[in-house]
Amino acid sequence: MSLRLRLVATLGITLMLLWGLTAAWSMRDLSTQLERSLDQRLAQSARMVAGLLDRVPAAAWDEEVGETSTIPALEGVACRVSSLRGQVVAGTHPEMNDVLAVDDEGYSDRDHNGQRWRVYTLVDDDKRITVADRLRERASLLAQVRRAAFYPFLLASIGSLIALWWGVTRGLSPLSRLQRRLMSRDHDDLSALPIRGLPGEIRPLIEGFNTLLARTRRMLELEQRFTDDAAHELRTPLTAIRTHLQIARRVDGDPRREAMQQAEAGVGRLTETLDQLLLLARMESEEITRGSVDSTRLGDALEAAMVETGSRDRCHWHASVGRLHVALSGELLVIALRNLLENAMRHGSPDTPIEVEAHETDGMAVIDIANRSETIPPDELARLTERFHRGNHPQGSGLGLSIVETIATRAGGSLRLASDDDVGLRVTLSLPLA
Amino acid sequence: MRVLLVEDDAPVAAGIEAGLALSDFVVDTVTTLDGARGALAAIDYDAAVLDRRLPDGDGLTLLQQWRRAGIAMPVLMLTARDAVASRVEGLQGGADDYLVKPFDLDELTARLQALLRRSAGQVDRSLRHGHLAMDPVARSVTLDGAPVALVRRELMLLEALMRARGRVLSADQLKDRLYGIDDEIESNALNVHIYQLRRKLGRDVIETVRGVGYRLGALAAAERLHGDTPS
Repeated sequence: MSLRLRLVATLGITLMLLWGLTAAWSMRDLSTQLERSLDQRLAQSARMVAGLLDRVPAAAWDEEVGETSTIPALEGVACRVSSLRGQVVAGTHPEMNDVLAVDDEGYSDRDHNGQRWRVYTLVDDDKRITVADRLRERASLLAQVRRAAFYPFLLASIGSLIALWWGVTRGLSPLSRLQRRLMSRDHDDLSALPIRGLPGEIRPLIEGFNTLLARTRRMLELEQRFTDDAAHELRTPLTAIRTHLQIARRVDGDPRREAMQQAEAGVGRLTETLDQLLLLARMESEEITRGSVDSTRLGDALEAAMVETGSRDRCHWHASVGRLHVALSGELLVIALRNLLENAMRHGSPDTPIEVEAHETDGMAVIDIANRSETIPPDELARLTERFHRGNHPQGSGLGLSIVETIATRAGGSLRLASDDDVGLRVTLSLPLA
Repeated sequence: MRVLLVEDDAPVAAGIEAGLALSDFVVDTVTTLDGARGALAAIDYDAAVLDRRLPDGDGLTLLQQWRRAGIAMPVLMLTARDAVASRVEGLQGGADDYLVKPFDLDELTARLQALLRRSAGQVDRSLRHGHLAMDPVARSVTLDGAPVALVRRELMLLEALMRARGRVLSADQLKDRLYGIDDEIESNALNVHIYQLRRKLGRDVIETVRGVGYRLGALAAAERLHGDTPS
């Protein structure tokens, strides 16, 4: 159901109901008021007749007694003056005895020829004055008054419904404009919607929408960059392999052997990049929950990582390192340490030691791995965890530190990099203790 | 033909260099945009193979600088991005051709040769001078339709002179076409190759312009034609 229809229906029905109630109430009030004032007029006319009769000299009055004077009748109104004994002195409608022959003073309703009359009788000294109103006249008067009141009401109701529709449409026009603007956009247009001129109620909504759009835009950019990087990292070794294989086909002897070696090296590089890429993809989709139930002895994982990277001889570490238990599966911890050690081996000056240190701080196991090499400037340092960023080193996939960072953050830990004059690169990996 | 290769990945660069050398291209490899600027300032290259993603920036920006500076040298771009938009971007940025990695070495060679041919205003693939014809792709030379056996450097020297179409080339310019930066050159090497060419194709095939350099002998083929045809 559209907002406009809902608004118009709700307000319209409420309005009609209120209008109707008010009208019914005032109509009821109107008919009682009218009855009362017509009754009063009836009584007044009786008193007027009595007053007139008082001014007539008693002699004249006596002369008249004995014979009835009939006054020409008016439609719907009747009157009779009679003596207390019942002798009719003057009046209209002599045949309407059933209506006008009333003894008691006061109001009463009476029937004549199937028509209802309202009767008032006044007893004044020695005479009785009876006046009557036909109810049909009263009813038609009431109907006329009601009709006169009904048309303005009808007009006002229709007018207010139109005004309501117009007002709601006008009030919702910013929404309609927004809708049109959204409909006419390209479906891949991710630019922000203009905020200016929007009413305060929709503004937060559109601001939220724009924030979402900006986030989507950023994510798409990152994804695009990742795709470009991945394409570059996979296609470059492929190019080397293909080129060297083609050369190997055309030359003989040493150049051929060299070309084959180059091609093989390319295959090795491609394999490594693919492995790391798949590992990263798996890390990102796999559930590595904070406070995991896994518990791995750091010493065991370090031992395994050193064996895998062949860095045992270059690593210096304290036996105390081994006692810490980290809340991470053995496999992931080994992957993280292996990547850090590989990194330290690759980028450290040859034959310099790799210092490994670990301690416990605030429920976290803090593992430091430092290698000796040239100092890395801060802006370069900040880019090291970017995917496919290899610094100035052509070796490696450029994914190692990204993978470690993913593992650390997913496990509720962190990865920090630092570089100063004494060490080349110090990598600090914090992981929750088991 | 001397080609500048701008590629930061060492194995790829080594492959391209070795592959192009098989087709008698002399290749100098640089790994950065700065290196490319320096090399182009020192040597007059016939063509360049330019990678887009380099450590100090996008190869396309360098190309745009070259084009703005009026350097018309044919440039073939290499890229790992195969999106149509990025190819269009490269071609509009001034590239003469565009290859997506991984490419076929033969295709790279053929396209480079096509670029050189077009830049020399040639229509078909062979170079002609009188009755002397050279196929730079097949690396073969014919004189009056008969094949002449030339060694690699002699071919390269003849190709440089034929592509110059009568322009005088200095000894240094000729050496640039024959040797890379790292090649060791014996002092009289160029003279030896010129002597051999004259011996195989006739004395006047190369004309010495004293104090300036060498050019293709304008009348060499015509004279020979008169000599061989009985009147």
